[in-house]
Amino acid sequence: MNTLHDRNSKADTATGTTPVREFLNRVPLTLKMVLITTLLGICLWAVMEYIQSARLKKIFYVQMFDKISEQSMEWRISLDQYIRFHHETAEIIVSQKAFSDYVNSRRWSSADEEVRYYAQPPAWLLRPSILRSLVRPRYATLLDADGRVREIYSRHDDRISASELLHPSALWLSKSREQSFVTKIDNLHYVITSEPLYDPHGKLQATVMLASPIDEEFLVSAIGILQPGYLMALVDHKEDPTVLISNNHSVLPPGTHIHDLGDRFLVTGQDTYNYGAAEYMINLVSLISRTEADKLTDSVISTGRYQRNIIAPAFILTFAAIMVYITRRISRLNKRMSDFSRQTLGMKTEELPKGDKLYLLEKRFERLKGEVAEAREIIKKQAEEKTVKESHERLLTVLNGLEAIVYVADMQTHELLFANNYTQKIFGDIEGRICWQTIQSGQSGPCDFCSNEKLLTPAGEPSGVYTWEFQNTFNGRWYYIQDRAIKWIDGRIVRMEIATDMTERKQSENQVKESLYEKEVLLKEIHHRVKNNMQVISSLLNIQSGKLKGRPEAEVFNESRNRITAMALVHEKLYSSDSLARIDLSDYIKSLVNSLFAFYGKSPRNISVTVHADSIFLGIDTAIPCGLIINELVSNSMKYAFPDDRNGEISIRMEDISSTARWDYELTVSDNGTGIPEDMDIRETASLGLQLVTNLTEHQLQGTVELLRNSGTEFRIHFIEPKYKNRA
Amino acid sequence: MAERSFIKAFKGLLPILRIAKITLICLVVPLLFASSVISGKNVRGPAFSGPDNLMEMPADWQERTVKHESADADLVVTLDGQMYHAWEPIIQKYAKENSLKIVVNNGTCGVAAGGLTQKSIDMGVFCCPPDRTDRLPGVRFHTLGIAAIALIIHPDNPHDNVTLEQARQLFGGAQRNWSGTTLKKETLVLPVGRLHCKLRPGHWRLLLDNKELFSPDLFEVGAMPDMIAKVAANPGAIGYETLWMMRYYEDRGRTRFLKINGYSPDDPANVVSLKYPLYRVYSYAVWEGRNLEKPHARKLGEYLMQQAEQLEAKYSFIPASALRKAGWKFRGNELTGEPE
Repeated sequence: MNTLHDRNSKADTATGTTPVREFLNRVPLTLKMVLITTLLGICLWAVMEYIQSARLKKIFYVQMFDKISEQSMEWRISLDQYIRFHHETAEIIVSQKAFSDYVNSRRWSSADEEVRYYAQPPAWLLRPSILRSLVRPRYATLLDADGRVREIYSRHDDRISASELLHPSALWLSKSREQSFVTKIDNLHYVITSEPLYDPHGKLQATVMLASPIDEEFLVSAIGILQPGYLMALVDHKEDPTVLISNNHSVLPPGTHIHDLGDRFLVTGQDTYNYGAAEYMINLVSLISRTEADKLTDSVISTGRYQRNIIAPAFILTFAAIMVYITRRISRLNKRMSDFSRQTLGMKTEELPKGDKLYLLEKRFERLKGEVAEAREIIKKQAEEKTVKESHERLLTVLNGLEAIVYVADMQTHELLFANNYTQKIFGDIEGRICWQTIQSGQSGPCDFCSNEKLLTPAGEPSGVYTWEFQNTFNGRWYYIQDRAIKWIDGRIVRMEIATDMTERKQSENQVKESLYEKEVLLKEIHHRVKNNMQVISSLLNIQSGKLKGRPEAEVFNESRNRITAMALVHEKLYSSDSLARIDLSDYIKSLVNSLFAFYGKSPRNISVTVHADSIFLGIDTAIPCGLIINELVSNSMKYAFPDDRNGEISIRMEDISSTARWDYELTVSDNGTGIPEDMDIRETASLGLQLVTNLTEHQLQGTVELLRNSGTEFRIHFIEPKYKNRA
Repeated sequence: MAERSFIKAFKGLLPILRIAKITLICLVVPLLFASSVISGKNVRGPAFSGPDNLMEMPADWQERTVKHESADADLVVTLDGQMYHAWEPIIQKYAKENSLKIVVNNGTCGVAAGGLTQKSIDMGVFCCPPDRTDRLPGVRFHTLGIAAIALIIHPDNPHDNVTLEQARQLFGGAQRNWSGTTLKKETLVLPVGRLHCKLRPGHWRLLLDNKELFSPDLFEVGAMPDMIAKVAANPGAIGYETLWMMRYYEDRGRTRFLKINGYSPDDPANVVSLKYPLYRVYSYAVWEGRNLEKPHARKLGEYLMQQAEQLEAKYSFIPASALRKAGWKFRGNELTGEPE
């Protein structure tokens, strides 16, 4: 039995334990899991921090961009309105009664009169409180009916230097009427609008023209003061737009390229005052500092981070507590498995070292698996041994009960391992002794006739039963012996011999053999004598026919003699053959035909006879009628078929047709001679020979005869071989 | 007795009453009809300005030649925003084919007019018929074609059709809610306007002549995308824009257009026949006369005229040739009046 240590070593080898793994296995599970959880938590925290921050920033930027786009639209609308309101303000100014009264009261004498400036809103202008709620034009000019500027209100109390404003052209006056018109004066964009005053007769009396440069002050008036982080600028309409005016010149001074601000600001823009009343396209660009966006993002991210900072330790502590609980359960399971191994399986258990409880549980389980398998093997082996032993005992009991010599001997040493009671009665207590010394006598070594070599295959495996008969040299008795190699209880291949005493049977057999031999001799003698007697009869008939030579009666004797010869030939063939019961028909027919050739003086050169009757053996009861029939038919052919020594052929064919027809045999005797007359019926003929043929066929052979006249004569006879009947 | 005399007197009055009734019908009905027509004409602004009404300019201005900001440009063209996306590639193709350097600016009618006033461009392309202030000495307008101005509404607004009078009431503030629709009863009409090119005839002025005819509640926007965005964001809103710009700024929001008097603006035949009455006019202006005229500019103008005939359908553009066939009035190449 392998020791526990060995099994552990094997298990460790199988799992490929390395020093690092060994070290890890010695670290307690709880500590390990807490460390892993902490490590993973930190990694996860870092990844989430990175992903969330980036994602949040992206979301924020998109949101901010949308917001600034909306804001930008609002600002553009406000700016557009402020520009438009210039004209509405001019309309209000002109619609005042105070304005018309003032114009009517004024008499501008000459064209050279000096322009009058006002730093405070003059009487023809609106009151300051109304101006504040409408627009605050930088300049408000009052033009006479000829379009000459007479009076100017300057909000900054400065003097107008631009001649376009001091001497507005007809085109300007036309374009600025009914709308706010944006143009450029001295590289600065201006909003200009004008409104005429007509007398009741439709005659132009005066015109008010408002003009405001679109500068930082203008933007603040139009849109207000922006929140920190937000910026706004008017830029020119080019592929690479530059700042014309911004609400914060320190951050966005004029000339700044907007495309350069992308790293620091989210930028969106659209053309403003797109009313077809501006000679220049101006885009309003809204910007929000990315730092400002990042501040907002960071505040959200820091909240998320704060939550993660709380959740992560709580998660780790919870996990550690769960792990402590699981570890304790695993420890208990380890102990129960150890107890089971020791108490139930009876294994010696060693205390496992401290360390990873899960690893120890795995180890313990692996050991238990081995122990259970080992225990099962032991139980199985014990059961098998018991079965074999019981089986062996039963075998010995059976063998002891046999009335035959049964012994088992080692095939190498010839030591007798077992001898049954019967054997021991004959040979004494021979177990443990050498077989050739005890069971046989007169042997100086292993017996020459020992069958050991015959009991094994070349590979040394048992080859089966070897049966033989032998007269024991110890007691002289005959035995019918069955030897075989078998596996003995100890696993050896041994020889088991069962020898049944057959001495009496042997003696009876010898007697039967002797008796049979005597009968065979006697039967041959009978056949010989019958044949001799028939030879005598044949000779007598020959003598008689000789005396009747030349007379028709001689033919009768000759035919009779041939018939007796045919029958005698059967007896001759029987006693000269090995078998006294059946004759070889082919051999018989050939002999019969030869004797008929001799008798009729025919030469085989003239008449050729072919015999086909190979492997057909007939009993005497069938052979004699067959022989007579063949004798008659061949005699008939020789006598009548070939007159005048004509050449011809006679064919005798005997076939076994039992497998294809209801008959056993078909005998065909044919010739290519002159043929039997057409009107001759073989059953009504006077020919004794043909009568014999039909009688023998139909009455003795229980068959049928058929005459065919195709090309010569063919007799076809079918018959069943009669069964031998005991005549006793 | 008294009854009899009353019936007798009444029977005597019957012929007089019949005459009075006929007179009343003959007088009042034409008066009512005339007043409605007059009222319609009153609110509709002029479609075109007279080609002979030129802006007077000082002599020194007239002596000046065209001078580009970009010194190496063969031609400088300013396109109105309505035209820019469709025509800028065509002009650049022409420039490439003719080995010219043509600077194309994206602007407005005002910018185009400003460029001509300053004599800094060779060609200005307008989306409105010219006003007197655009008709500078030496400037000749050539009409490329017209396009329908669609009345646009929020996609949830179930209205499909309005009469021209209803449209005027909606924009003018006479109709203040969308009654008879699946919109909430209290959903007020929010007219959205872009009252651009106030001096120029045509365009929105075909709906209502001037800003005073629009509702006090009119929400004014400055740019085309703002118009689309505002209408798309307000279920009760109604605005106007060309079909092409409506599609071009679809990313700002989904809107849909209304038929007027059962006629759809997306069928050119309706616009040409004036069954659909709102349209804008696209023209280009080039210099003519000594010191100002440039053969390249003239050839480019002719090329644009040719291209107008085969502009892609998505621009919903009706070329000048189709208008000529339908009897619209032209002086030279400039469209000056609707068919009789």
